[in-house]
Amino acid sequence: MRTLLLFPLLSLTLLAPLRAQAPSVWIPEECQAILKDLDPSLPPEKLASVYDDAFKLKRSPTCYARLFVGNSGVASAGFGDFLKKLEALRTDKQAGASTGAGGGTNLASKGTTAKVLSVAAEYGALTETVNQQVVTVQGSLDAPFAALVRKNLISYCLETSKDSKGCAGEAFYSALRRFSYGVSFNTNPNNQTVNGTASGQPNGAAQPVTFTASGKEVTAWNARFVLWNARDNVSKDFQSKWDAALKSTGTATPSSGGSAGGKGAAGGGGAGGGAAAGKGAAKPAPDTTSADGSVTSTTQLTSAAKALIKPLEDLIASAQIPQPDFDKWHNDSVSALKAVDLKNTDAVSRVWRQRVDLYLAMVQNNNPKVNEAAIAFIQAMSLYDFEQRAFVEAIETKPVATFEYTNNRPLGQASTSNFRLIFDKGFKNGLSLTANGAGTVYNSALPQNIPGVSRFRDAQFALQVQKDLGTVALLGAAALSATYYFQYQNSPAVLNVSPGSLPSGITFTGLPADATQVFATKGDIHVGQIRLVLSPGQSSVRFPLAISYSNRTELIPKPTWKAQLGISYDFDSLFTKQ
Amino acid sequence: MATCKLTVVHGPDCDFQATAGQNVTLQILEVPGGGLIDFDAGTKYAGQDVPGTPSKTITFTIAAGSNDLEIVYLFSQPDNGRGELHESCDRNPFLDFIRAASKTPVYTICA
Repeated sequence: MRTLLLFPLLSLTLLAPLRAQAPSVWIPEECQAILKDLDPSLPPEKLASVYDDAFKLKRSPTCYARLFVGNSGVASAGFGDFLKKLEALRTDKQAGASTGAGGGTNLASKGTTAKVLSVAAEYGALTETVNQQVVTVQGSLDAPFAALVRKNLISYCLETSKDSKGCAGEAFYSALRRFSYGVSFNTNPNNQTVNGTASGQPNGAAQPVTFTASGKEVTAWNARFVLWNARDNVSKDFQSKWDAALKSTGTATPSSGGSAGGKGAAGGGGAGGGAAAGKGAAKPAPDTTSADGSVTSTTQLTSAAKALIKPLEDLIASAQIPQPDFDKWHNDSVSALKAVDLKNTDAVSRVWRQRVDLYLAMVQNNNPKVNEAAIAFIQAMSLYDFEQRAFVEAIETKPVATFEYTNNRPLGQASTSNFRLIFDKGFKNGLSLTANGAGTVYNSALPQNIPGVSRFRDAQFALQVQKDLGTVALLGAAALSATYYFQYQNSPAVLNVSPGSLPSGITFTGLPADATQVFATKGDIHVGQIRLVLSPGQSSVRFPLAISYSNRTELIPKPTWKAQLGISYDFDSLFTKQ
Repeated sequence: MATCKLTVVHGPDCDFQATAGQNVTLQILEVPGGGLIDFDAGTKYAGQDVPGTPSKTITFTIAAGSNDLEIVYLFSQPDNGRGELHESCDRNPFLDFIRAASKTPVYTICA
């Protein structure tokens, strides 16, 4: 009983300071940020500056624009255009099939994929015996969300105006960003076969036949969820990337002022071989593309920044009142606020709001259309805010741990489910480490007459070290990686066969006519791979070239050398360009 | 180090007073915990683009009359970034606070 009574008392005690801090009148967050600076302990010249910020629209246009528009949600109207150019700015996107899809060049999966869309065509095999040709399409869930926002079906709200209603904010958008998907298609011309079986009685030379088709065009699909993102916006490495990315606009100068810390070593490695910004420092370009296809774009940011000026000037012009009226209001307002005990934040808010309401009324009487100018400015500011976040996120966010589920549907084999944990870690000097741990199970039980058969098919481990080579003459951005892959084969690989429909690329000798499944001797697989990824010029095309050596494949218990090659196109960068 | 050219005026009409024809350099002072801040593209003075952005400093020549300096700031902490605007000169005087909540302040310079 005593506990029951104490709890509400304790809650009230804890919540009391919070309630005391909340202003009794509605004040947009942009304006609250100014009022918070009315600190009586400030030197006089700084305090005087805050008074000016509080009572001059020019000094604080976002605050005043929000006041004009109010908290009605009207600011979200017509926002469809501002949430555009949602693209992958991360430094470690995987384009291409995940391990085990057959035909892929990736021995180790990376944590993140393209945001909007990437398409990769690859040829080869890693643990499989027969080379395959696979096209993989990948994307993230935030792209459809962005499309809905652009079409005005969903409104996006400024993060500094979370109190706005009826709009989705950065938190929701960030959550969607964690999810990605991929679908791999088998594009081999003979991946589908049609079998004819005689049915009914022959009619002379004519024979009725029942045709059945077998084949799987979707060879795998996967879903990914980023479990843990590392955010870094304070390290020297981040500062270096910030400077390098801004420098890539072509007119910037490196950071020189500031007391937040010195400049770090150039080019930190992003997860999965990033450091796109670091490479940008070596050779500035409007959009900096790394070997793994990541793009750090400043083009959109620059456009959004420049687009702010016209609405800003329009807002200032629309809010003009006769100079004597403004002078009087300004001087009276500063005097009124100076008369308030600045430690009494509630009184400060109340007096400030009363004075500002007078100004808003004067402006709206003078020019009723000022609200339209305010909306236009907020729209432009929202776009700039969005692009700024995208730019910052591209530099600061690195996926560290990702979970991936892959449903493999290989032709002529039982379908499997693969559960994979992906760990990415970037280091300095363009080095990055990627580790994978995975397990595969058969999606359905296999015949028990196969020796050693089990639903648990295999366990995998892969370790990849990648070195970002920067920009190489003639070849463009390049990255070199070395990967070791181990597969513990718990259950033998099983092929589904029928006399009329054998798996592509495999022939059998002495196979009984009634055999429907064949299995190979199981054994652990060790694969080593050297992989070079080229991204010529400023293009979004990547060419992965790889050579691998394995002690055996899933079917053949003999060492083998294999080559893998591919081409991928990252549509994200297409969306970033004008 | 150059002598300071701007005088802060806390009046309704002008923010700073200066002499026409003089070159003024402004700099951003980043404060601990406030993140990185740059002058971004779009920054203008007297209707003209200020060159060299993005950067931590900008330099422009004071024009006669009353003219606006329209600043666009880029923040590494778009929500809560903060710093200070100073004139880059021998005394390095404080001009104003920089806040992520106000990414486009406009200052009127009277000369």
